Amino acid sequence: MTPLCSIARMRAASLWNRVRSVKADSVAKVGVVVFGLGTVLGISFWVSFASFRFIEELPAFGTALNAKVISLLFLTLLVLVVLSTIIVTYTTIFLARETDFLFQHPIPPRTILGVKLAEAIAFSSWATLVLCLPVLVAYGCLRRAGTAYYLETAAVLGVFLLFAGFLGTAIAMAIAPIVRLLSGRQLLVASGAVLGGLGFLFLRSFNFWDMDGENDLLILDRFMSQISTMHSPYFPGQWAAGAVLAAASGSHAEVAFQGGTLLANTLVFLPLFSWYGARWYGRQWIAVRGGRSRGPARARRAAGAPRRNLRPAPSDARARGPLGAMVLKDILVFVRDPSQLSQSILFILLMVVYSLSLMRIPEFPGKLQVVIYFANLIAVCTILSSFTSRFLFPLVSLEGKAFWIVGLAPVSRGYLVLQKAAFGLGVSGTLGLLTIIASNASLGSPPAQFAGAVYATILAGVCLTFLATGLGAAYPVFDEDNPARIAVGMGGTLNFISSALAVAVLAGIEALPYVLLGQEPPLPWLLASHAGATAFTAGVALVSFRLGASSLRRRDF
Amino acid sequence: MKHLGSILTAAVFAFWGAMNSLVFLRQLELEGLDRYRSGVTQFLGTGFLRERWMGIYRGGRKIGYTGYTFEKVFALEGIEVHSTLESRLEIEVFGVRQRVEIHGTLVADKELKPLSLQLDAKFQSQPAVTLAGRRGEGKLLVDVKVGSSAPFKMSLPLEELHLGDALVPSLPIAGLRAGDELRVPCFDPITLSRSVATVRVLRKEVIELDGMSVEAHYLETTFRGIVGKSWVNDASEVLIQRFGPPLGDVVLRKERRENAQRPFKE
Repeated sequence: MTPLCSIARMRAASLWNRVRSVKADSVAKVGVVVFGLGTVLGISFWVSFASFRFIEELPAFGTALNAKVISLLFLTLLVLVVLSTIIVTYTTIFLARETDFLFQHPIPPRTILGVKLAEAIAFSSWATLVLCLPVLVAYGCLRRAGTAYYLETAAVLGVFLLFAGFLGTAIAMAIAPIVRLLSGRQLLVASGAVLGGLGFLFLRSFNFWDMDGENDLLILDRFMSQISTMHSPYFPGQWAAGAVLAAASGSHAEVAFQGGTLLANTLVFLPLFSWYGARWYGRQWIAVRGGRSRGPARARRAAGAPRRNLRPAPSDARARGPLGAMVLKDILVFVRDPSQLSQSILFILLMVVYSLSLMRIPEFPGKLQVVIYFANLIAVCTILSSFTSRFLFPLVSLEGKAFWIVGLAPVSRGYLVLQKAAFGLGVSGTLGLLTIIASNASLGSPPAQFAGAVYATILAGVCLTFLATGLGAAYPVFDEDNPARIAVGMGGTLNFISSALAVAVLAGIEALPYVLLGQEPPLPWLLASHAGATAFTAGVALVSFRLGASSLRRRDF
Repeated sequence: MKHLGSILTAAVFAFWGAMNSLVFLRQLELEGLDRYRSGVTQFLGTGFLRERWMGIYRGGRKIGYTGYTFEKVFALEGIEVHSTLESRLEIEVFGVRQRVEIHGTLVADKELKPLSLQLDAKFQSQPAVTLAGRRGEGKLLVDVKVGSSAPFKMSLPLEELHLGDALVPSLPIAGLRAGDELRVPCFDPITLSRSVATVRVLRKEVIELDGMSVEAHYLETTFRGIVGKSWVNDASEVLIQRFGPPLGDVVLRKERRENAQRPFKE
């Protein structure tokens, strides 16, 4: 039996064991996840279709703008999937514990690379595939395309995501020798500089700063017209977009040409990866595992020399108290994990870009102002929910096999959940408050709405943080060391859907007075809606905390 | 089996080379075309079928519509470009409203030289002019029948040709850049003759259209002494077209097919 067959059998056995171990409560969980995913897909389709139809009805440039939106979608997907794959692939093929395990067996490095790459690309792009298909289906419905469109589009999207994954992998392999020489701080500065530079070039490319705020659709149109990369015949996003647009108009020959070009440029990575796997992967893996920065201080430490300026060991943990000590530990673990750190930087950058983009938004009169206000509130809460799902949900799981150490700490298991929530609330609350204050200042919201948005964000922060930490403790994955994989597991998906529902309910309660009484509801109604939202948040936080604490209490280590 | 890996690798690289060469050659061919053919190719894009419909207004009142369908067809003889014209117009002659209808199809080869031409013009729903042309003897030979008079023949040179719509023509070209100047022969269904339309792309402007700001290229087209001013967006959709004298009060506005045809074709 070849090593590849052995690994495949191992995976199949692991999957079968998971299926067999599905208990009654897990069946309910699967049901919730399937129902939730169905709802998300349905909403995604409906929102996309309504947006496409709205744009299509713009007399001056609607049809052309929709075609540009498809091109922009593929450009955005390429950037996001490549960035995501760089991080996931680097951690999966060089740092993951399972990779260490596989290297201890007589398996050729090329096979290990193939297996880990397949996993990394699948994990970094499955969500994109699921969320983008409804968008493209909606476009097909708008164009009244035939059945062939849906088959061709699904194939094109699949090949495109594979291409983006392969490209991200190639970049991860190319930068691996550089990354291992950098310290955490240097890596932070370098990635910040690269992302900042790219962001600046991106914004500058469409003359964003010179536009006046009243021409928002003009900005969008000019923005998409001026991204020359998007229209280049040599750009992979253009091949995919060209294939989708041709499929919508029934030009199958053109779909074959554009799709074939994309496929050819995707397949060409395979022999390159095979060569890399056979010649370089083993050496690179040893180099990355062997050591990172070779600075003199590290060299001295490696040689066993005592540290200079050695500060007293953190025996002042007692002075800090258990909460402070464990939060400090979590911060150190977080900062030392390159994948967590780089993704959190990316996340913060997205929040900054979101806030910056609102600076150019025009003033909307009357009811539209309230709609924009709530759209912004929901957007900020949704960003927060993504943050808590990606970074806070895996916190308990990331204790891994060393959980017994924190388990032995002289605190209750419930206290552990509370500590994770406190740590998470500190981060998510700060980010949420900064974003909501910046965005409402940009929107010029009236004082009452401004204060309401800040309060609602605090509630959302509490609610989402307790949901993520509570469900993270209730459904931990201690045998997984990749936080991205923990976040997209069954428990993570359940948390993601619950968070989305919680945001919807919170926004609904806050919006109720405006829906019932118009755009300037009386103060008592506003206070009542805040009280309702507070009660809802308290209820969700309490139930999540109890669920997580009791589940952890029952566990043996 | 031993060499399967090598064969697959060679096949992957061959596929990669072939597809990228095709992309490169296609781009090279596009860049080698003259400005009009390159513009038409870009206008047709990947979809191979485009429509352009405009309502015709005079003094704020709709008096007709004009529309084109441009289609790239892969025929047995090679690539063809079919331009189909449908135009209806109500004009007042001595205070009496008269209806003019024009239907025509120009089939051109890949060099945009005409292969055939078919055109029917009706006046008050009665056939007024019928044209049937086909390529022969290095020219486009056209049989013309005007009303009840005897049919006659005419010929047109074999050159790039656009089928006009009795107004100042809007050429189906994309990839406009300020400073571009094109001279394209057009067949005028009113005078039954060819004339050269000169199109100059002057600048990009932000215009107001239906309460919305739109960025568009500003074009001036001169045809038979009449100057047409057009505003064309990046997707080569003509948003508005205005004319100089004697059509000074006529405005063409981009509309959807069903809106453009309303109420003339219900």
